[in-house]
Amino acid sequence: MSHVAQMEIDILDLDALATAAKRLGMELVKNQVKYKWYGHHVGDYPVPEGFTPQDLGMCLHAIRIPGDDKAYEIGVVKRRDGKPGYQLMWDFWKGGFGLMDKIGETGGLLKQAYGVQVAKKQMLRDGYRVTETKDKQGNILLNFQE
Amino acid sequence: MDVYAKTVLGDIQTLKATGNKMKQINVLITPEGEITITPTGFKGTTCNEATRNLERALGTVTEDKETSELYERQEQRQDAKY
Repeated sequence: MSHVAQMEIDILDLDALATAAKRLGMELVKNQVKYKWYGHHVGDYPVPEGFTPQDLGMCLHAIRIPGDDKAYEIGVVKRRDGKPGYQLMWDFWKGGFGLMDKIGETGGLLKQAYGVQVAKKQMLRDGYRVTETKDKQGNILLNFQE
Repeated sequence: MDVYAKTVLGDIQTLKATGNKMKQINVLITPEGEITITPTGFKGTTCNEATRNLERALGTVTEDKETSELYERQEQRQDAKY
């Protein structure tokens, strides 16, 4: 062991995001330009950096729970904080009516599934074999061997 | 002991038993989406090269700690010059 890196996930790969959504029983709908949410900003929480209340509800792509018309959806938008990739936007009012049961309180389960997909994709491309395990705390361990 | 600790411990025991330097990269991803990457069995800074593509694909490195194994190997190389 010679170094240990801690990382924050950036959403850069739409195909991996689609696979991650599928893993959680959801689907990425490309070119869906609006996502379902409460409908107007009531000002109780700040909007993400670079966005205005008028931007809420609009997106490039959306993630939804198939067959669930009640659940809110996730908007996939270009980041506006100067970094590459996409930002995920969703309304957590009343747990997004089932949405947050799928993705976790802060969207962590979707990020986890995305990270698993991206790591596997990259390392298989680099010639590694992979073993995936999950512990009781919900951590996923990917072990890659040459 | 969680699965991550068990796996790393298992790796170390395997290396001790066989004397081999099996190259492995462990990636732990929490339910909050936090990632820890731990390469084992690489010589010197080759672990950085091995994980570079992976780190680039995943996002932003927030903390990168070099471990004693790397320092020990670098010191050995320094010693060999004299």
